Amino acid sequence: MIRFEGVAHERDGERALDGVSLEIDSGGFVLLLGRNGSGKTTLLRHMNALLTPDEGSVLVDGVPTDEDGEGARRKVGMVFQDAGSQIVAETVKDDVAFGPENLGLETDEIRERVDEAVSAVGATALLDRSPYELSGGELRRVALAGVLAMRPDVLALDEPLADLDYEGEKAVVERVVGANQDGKTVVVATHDAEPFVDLAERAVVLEDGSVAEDGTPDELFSRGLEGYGVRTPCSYR
Amino acid sequence: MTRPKFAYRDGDTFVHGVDARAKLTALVVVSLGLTWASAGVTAAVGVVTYLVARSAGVSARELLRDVRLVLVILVVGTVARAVSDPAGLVPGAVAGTVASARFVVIIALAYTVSATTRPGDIRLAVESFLEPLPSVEETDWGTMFATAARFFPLVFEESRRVRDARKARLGERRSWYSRVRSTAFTLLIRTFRRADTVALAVEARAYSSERSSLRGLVWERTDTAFILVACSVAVVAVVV
Ligand SMILES: Nc1ncnc2c1ncn2[C@@H]1O[C@H](COP(=O)(O)OP(=O)(O)OP(=O)(O)O)[C@@H](O)[C@H]1O
Ligand SMILES: [Mg+2]
Repeated sequence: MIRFEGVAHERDGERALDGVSLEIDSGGFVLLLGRNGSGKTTLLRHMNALLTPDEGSVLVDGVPTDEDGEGARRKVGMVFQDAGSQIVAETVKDDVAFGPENLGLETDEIRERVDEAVSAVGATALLDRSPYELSGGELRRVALAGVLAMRPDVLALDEPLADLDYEGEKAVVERVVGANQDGKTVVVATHDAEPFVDLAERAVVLEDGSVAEDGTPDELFSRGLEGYGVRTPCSYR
Repeated sequence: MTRPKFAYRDGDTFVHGVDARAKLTALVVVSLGLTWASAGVTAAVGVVTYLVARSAGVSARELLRDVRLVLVILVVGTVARAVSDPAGLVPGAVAGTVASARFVVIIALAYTVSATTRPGDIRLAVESFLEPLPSVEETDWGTMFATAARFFPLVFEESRRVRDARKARLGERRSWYSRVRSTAFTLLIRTFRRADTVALAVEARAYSSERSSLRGLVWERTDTAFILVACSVAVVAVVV
C-alpha cells in the first residue's frame, strides 16, 4: 500500500505538490488525471523516492520513502514520461537487463525476464539495437520493458501511451491489465483516459498540486472533468 | 529542487542589473590582475568577491557544492606541488595554496557572473565586443559563446537525469566503478545527442547570422563605475 500524508513538495520555490493525502491500496488500478503542470509526474516520482517530500511523508508498505528509498524503488517501478531519459545502457538488451541486474538475479533468470518483458511489449526485434536509434514509440516500449523486467509490486506509469501506434497501445494496455490481474498495483498518469477507463477502479484528479477530485472514473467522467483540463472519453460524451 | 550548476538564476539585485558587457570586462580584468596578485591581495579580493556574490544571492554553500570537484583537484595539486617543490615542503605548500586560492577566487567570480547574467545577454555582450573587428561574423561567435556557456549547465542537468534514470531501477546498488562507467558513457552519448538536437532546433527555426534581438543591452552610469572599480582592483592587485 502507498500512503501520501499531507505531502508538499517545492520545485524552484513553487509548490508542485501541496498537501496531498492519498491512499493507494495494493492491487488497485488508479488513473492520475489533471492538466499540464498539475503535479502528476511529481506525485509519481514520490512513489519511488526519486523525490522525497518537503513536508508530510510518503509511505510504501508502511515505510517512509525518505528513510528507505531503495526499498521503495524495489517495490515501485516507474516508467518516465520522457522515455528517452530513462535509458542507461548501450543496447536495448542491456538496458532492459539493467534493473534485474541490480536486483542481483542469476544470469539465467535475467535472460528469461528480459525476453519476457521485451516480448510483452512487442519489442523482441529491437533487442540488439542501440536505444538511441529507436523511434519514439519503440523507445517507449523499451522503457516499459525495463521496468516490467524488475517485476515490481507497483507500476507507476507516466503517460505510458504517448507516441504509441494502435498495436503498441494495445500491447501496453494488455500488459498493464495483465499485471493488475496478477495482483500488481497500477498507477497511470495520463491525458488519454480512454483506453483505461473501463479498467481502472479509481481516478484522482490533481489541480495545482492538490487532489481536486477522487472517485470512480464512471462518477467523475459522468460529471465531466473539462474544468480540470481533462478530456472526456468518447463513451461519456 | 537543485538547479543545474552554473546556471543563470533570476533576480533583481544590483549585480543582476549591471550590464553584461561591464560584468564580462570586470571578470577578465580582475582575473588577469589576480594572476599577479600577492597572497594578501588575493585574500582581499576573495573577501570582496564573497560580498559581491552574497549581494547577488549566490551563497557560499551553493558555490562550494557546485565547484567541489575543482576544489578537490586544487587540493590534490597543492599537495603534489608541496611534495615535489625543490624549495622544500613548506614553501611549496604556501606557493601551491596561494596559486589555488587565486584560482578559487576567479572561479567564484565567473560563477557569480554566470549566475546573474542571462545567457542571451552574454551572447549580446560578446557580439558587441567583436563588432569592431573586421571579417568576424560577430553574431555567430556570440551564439557560439552563449551555447558554450549553456553547455556546462546542460551537462550537469543531463548528469542529474542519468542519475535519476539509474536510481529509479536500483542502480545505486552497483559498484562504484560500474556507476561511474555507465554514467560517463550515457552522459557522453546524451550530451552529444543533445548538442545535435540543439543544432537541429536552431536550424529548424531559420537561424541566420543576420539576426536581430529581442533584448538590447543598455549601458548606464553605474556600469561605468563598476568597470572603474574592477580596473582599480586589478591595478592594485598587480602593483601591490
Ligand atoms: N525539474 C523541474 N524543476 C522545477 N520545476 C519543475 C520541474 N519539473 C516540474 N516542475 C514544476 O512542477 C509543477 C508540476 O509539474 P509536473 O511535471 O508534476 O506536472 P504534470 O502534471 O506531470 O504535467 P504534464 O501533464 O505536463 O506532464 C509544474 O509547475 C512544473 O513547472
Ligand atoms: Mg508529467
